[in-house]
This record gives sequence, structure tokens and C-alpha cells, in this order.
Amino acid sequence: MTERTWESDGELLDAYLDGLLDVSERTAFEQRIEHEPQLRRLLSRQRQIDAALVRIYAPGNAQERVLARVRAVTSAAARRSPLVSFLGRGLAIAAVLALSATAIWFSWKSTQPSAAPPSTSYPPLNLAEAYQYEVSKGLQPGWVCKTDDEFVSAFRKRYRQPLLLAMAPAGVETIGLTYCDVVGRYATMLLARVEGTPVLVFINLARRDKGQSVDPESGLKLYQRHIGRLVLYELTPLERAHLLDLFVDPEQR
Amino acid sequence: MQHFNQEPQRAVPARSPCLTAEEFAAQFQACFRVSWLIARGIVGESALAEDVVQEAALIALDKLDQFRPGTNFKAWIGRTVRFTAMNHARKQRNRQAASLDANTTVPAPAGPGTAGGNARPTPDGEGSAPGGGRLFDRRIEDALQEIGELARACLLLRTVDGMKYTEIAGLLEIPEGTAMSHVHRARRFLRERLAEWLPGETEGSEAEA
Repeated sequence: MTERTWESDGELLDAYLDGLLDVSERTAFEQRIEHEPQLRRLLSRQRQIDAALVRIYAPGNAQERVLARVRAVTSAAARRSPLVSFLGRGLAIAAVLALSATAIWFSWKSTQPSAAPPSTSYPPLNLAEAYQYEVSKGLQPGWVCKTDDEFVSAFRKRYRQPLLLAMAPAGVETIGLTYCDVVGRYATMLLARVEGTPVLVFINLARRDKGQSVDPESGLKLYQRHIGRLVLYELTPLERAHLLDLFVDPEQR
Repeated sequence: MQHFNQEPQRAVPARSPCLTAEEFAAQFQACFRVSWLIARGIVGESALAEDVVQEAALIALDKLDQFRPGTNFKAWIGRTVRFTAMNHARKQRNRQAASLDANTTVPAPAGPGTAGGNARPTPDGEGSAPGGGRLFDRRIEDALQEIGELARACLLLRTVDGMKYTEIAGLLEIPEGTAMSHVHRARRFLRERLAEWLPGETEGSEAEA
């Protein structure tokens, strides 16, 4: 039998907790624990730390959330044809965004256009292209919320940051929400018109934002605002932002 | 002009004959806890760990044809989670470095002897963390940020999941002795760092003879 040596009581304690001691070593260590308060404290300290680690680092609700999204994607993948499944990760990610966001509806008091199915791909590569793309599609929303509560909880669920859109002044028409990855993955886009001019607001977690800019030759301007964990960008051909100030954190009001 | 039909159609990659998307979901579910602990250990923050695990699942799903039936699914998904998490951790470090370069002030973590760290709350030892327990949990999280990413992952896999050292070594692709040494050093560090916050402790930490 190989003789093992433990360089310190700490090491011996770890071996004891890991079940690495043989019967005689274990018995000897337990006898020491009975008679040595310092060693007893060391063991107690480690057990409290271990209990706290289990408490702090358990996955909790994250497990349900992630598994629900993964199941949604795998169910969609199982239904896809082999050729479609070849589209791979990009489509899978688009699908998970679309499926995990079915609860998102746009809240607006005056206009309620019908909801359109979400798109599964997003061709534009930059903000100016995104603007032209959305305009050419006629500002078709992916989702429309029915109430303020739905709108607030949609952002709370998606970004853990509630967000409310206040009543817009005359001339401002908000149309709906959709997703686009131009400003970063998992970004949300609000489609709107100001005095008939199309305006887009991109919303994403600030920590995922790498900074945005728009080609000045496009004639578009970009305005930025932070609310809690979120960063919002208003992309507009107009001389000032009309929508950014309408967003509020309902818990800060 | 036809832009999209000019390229020859690419062949559909062969899918693993033994693992369908539904089977992947079931296997992933079985490995979730381990995936979570690897991600949480490496990136630290809970919300980011959630993103990492989800992203890793999508990456793995996309590369399902690369999984060899009969091999260890847990090790395969673990590797994907680890790479994804390390990628995020690297980006996080770069961002922090950039913000320090820009002279952004970073609040120092409160602890014994620093502002906000004068109280000595204690864990209640009942499995929940009301009152002082929450502060104690915070101290643990802060202390854990001071050890290496891999050591943190080893400690969490051993302590929270009860995984054997040989499994940890296989999962993280490190020697078993290294896994054991990471856990031992991390435990010792936490015992010393948290000594003042535990009930019945005298001032300062006890030397581990």
C-alpha cells in the first residue's frame, strides 16, 4: 500500500471531505476533531463555505429558461427538412429568438396592426441597410403587444430590465416590435413613424453593445440613450430623436 | 441576375445517426447542471452564464454531426461550454481593461477593513441566506472572483455537483492531480479569506498547520 502524507491539516481536511482517507486515517482524523477545537473549527468553516457554494451556485430558474429555449429549437429542427437544417447555427439562433419571444407583443393605444410572422433571417449588414430594408418591407412588425403590462414583462423577461413606452404625442405612430441582429445578437427593434417618416429604435443589453455608428452619407442620424441595463439607439432621418424619451423604466417612475 | 443559384448546391452534412435533435435536447438536459457550473465558474456572473450555456447548446446543436456516437456526450458538451465561456470571459477582461484605460472608476469590493465591510454578518447555516447570510454569500462570490477561472470551475464541479476528480479532469481536459490541486488551493483560499465572516472565529485567519 502506498503511504500518503498530508502536508497540512487543511490538506488532510480536504482529503477527509473528499473521502480519500482510508479507514484508519479517517478514524484517526475524527478522533483529532473531537479533541482539537482548532481542527473542529476548520471543518466547520469548510462545511459552511460548501453549503453556501451549493446555495449560491445552484442553477435555479436558469435551467428551466435555457432548457425551454433549447427544446424550442430542437423541436423546430426536428420539423425542418434536411436542406433547411443545413442552414445551421444562424437559423437556429434566429429560431430561438423567434420562439422565445412569442410572448412579446407591442403596446400601443391607438393603432393595432395585425401581427406578422417573425422573419427567420436578417440580411442587412449595417444600420443604414437595416433602415432601407425595413422601409422597403413597409415597416412590418414581428410582434404587437396588447397591453402595457405585456410590453413591460416582455422586456423584463428578455433583458431582465422592464421597459415601458409612454403615450406618444400626436404625429408619432409606433407600429410594433421585431428582432434584428445588426446592433448585436438578441437586439430588439421598435418600428415607428414620426410625421409619416420611418424611424427605428434598436434596444439591446448595454454590456453586449460594441458601440454603433451610421454612415453620414446615408442621411440618417443616430441618437443614443441608456435605461438601466439597456442601451437604446434611435435611427432617423430627422434632426432630433422623438422616441427615446418615451421609453421609461416603470420601476424608476 | 441570379445571385443565389450560381454556387453549386452544397451537400447536406451527414448527421449523427444515433442522435436526433430531440435526443440532443434530452442529453443536454441531463448535462445542464454540469454545463451551468462550468459556465458559472468561468464567467462568474449568473446572467452571462445563462447566455453562455444557451449559446453553447446552439453551437453544439449546429455541430451535431461532429459528435461521435458512443463517445461521452457530457465531455463533448462540456468542452463546447468551456470554449464558449472562455471566449466570453476573454471579452469581459478586454472590456474591463478598456474601461480602466479610459480612467473609469471601478468600485472596490467591500470586505473586512474596507468601507462597508465593518459589520461581521454570519451565515445562518440553515440552507437559506436571510439577513447576514446574503452578505456572507456576497463575500464568497467576491472571494471566488479572485481565483482563476479553471480553479473556480473545478471547485464548483466538486462542491456543488459532487463530481469526482477524475470526471472533472476529463471534462476540463486537465490532469486529475491538477483538478485536485485547484480545488484544494481554492478551498484553502476561501477558508482564509472568509475566516472573519464565519461565526465563532477569532480575529484573523487561523494558520493551517
